[in-house]
Amino acid sequence: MWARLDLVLSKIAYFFQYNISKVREINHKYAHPRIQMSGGVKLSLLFLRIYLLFLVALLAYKFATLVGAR
Amino acid sequence: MKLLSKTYYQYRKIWKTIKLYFILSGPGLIVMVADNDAGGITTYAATGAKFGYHLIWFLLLLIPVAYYVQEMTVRLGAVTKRGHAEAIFDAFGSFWGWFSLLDLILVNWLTLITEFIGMTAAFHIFGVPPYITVILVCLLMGIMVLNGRYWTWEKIALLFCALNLVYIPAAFMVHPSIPTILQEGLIPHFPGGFNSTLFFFLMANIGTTIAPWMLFFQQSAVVDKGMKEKDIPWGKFDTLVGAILTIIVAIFIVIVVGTTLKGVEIDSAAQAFSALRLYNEHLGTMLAIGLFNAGLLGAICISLASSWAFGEVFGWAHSLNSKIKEASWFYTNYFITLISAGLIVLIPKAPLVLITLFVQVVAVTLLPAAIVFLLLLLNDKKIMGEYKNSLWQNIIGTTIVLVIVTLSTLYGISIIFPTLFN
Repeated sequence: MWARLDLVLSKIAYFFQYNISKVREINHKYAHPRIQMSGGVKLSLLFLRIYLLFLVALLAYKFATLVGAR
Repeated sequence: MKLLSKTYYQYRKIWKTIKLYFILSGPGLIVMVADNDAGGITTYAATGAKFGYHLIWFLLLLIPVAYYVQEMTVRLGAVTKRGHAEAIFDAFGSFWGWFSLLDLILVNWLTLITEFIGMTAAFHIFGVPPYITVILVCLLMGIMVLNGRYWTWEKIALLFCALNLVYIPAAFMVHPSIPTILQEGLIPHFPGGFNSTLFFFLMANIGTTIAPWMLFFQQSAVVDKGMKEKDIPWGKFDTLVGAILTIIVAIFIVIVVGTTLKGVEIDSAAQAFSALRLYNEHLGTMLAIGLFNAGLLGAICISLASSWAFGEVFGWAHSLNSKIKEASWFYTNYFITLISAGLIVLIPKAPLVLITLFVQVVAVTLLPAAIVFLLLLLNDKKIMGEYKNSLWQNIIGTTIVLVIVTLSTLYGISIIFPTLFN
């Protein structure tokens, strides 16, 4: 039984090790954006970052008010 | 004799064109019809119940919106031979890539839950317990993908698309007044003035027509189908047919519910169709089956969109043309997404209404990013070559993007703060 458990655990460990190394490989592969970084592209990406921060702030505010109401 | 041979030649030419269309059609038609999923049917049913025929003109406006956004994915997929997730990683780097991928997986999984909610509610009308529906759906979707060919999967999906047309004869069964439909439905106006309720419904209809998973699904399907640059006109035509068809179906749902249940508060399509069974049993039954089919079609596409996206980025074999052994990760991902979403619906007292609302909020975080990336990619000469956006395509595309981003954001905010626009 212990041998079986050991096998399952080693398989789980391999799964995580493999995927962590895969994520690292993906990060390395796509480290540099291929699109030409013109003014328009930079502006659009800046807008998206601000937009997402705004949404996160809204959700955080909602969460805080919900917790506060309790 | 010459006339006869000429006629025969013309006939052969037309028949050949039709055959070619049937070979190349698929991604556009499936993605558009699947857009009328369980959530979509609920939105259109609620619109019909609340405003009758008065917002049909607005639905018609959504045909070019849906077409222009989706045709860009056809060009991008055919030119780059990459799915949308991989294209974002490649063009914008890993930060935006991970953001899009993880957001897509989350929003797709949540949407898949809503499809299961719709399907179980539809079959519940006939007294089928939810767990039987979930098992049935998982088996059916398993059989569809495990045949090992994209072509077979696509043709089965097209069959389900055809079933989505059930709302068209249903509308004739309720005997609507055609002059009233034309008079009330085709002249642009805001019934009862422009107020917060109307605004919420307009936004909900837009949100239903353009969903993030559609961009990812169609581009991946174009790649999996093996479409090339020369097939782009057919892909665009396929998308146009799909856009028209999906809105026609939406209009017919509005007509059915607008004729029979106008003024009734509708929380879900299942509730509407259950009420319609009292009006006409055959009609209610037909529509409930239509709702199940819509949920199934949505589930088929959404679960595949996630698996394709993961496969593209992680470099796994990710084609429906691959056998299980060749693409084990791809199929594992597909089934985990599917079964886990089905199990959530079976949890007693699971917060299903909250999940349904949360889908819209998460979609709002992904849609603007996905759609802006699409527009930027379509403007990169190095990536798109001669297929990059023209000036007119950019004017139309940018206008649509700005309107969608603004309205979907307001829609998301109105869900988080329901009293804000009152």
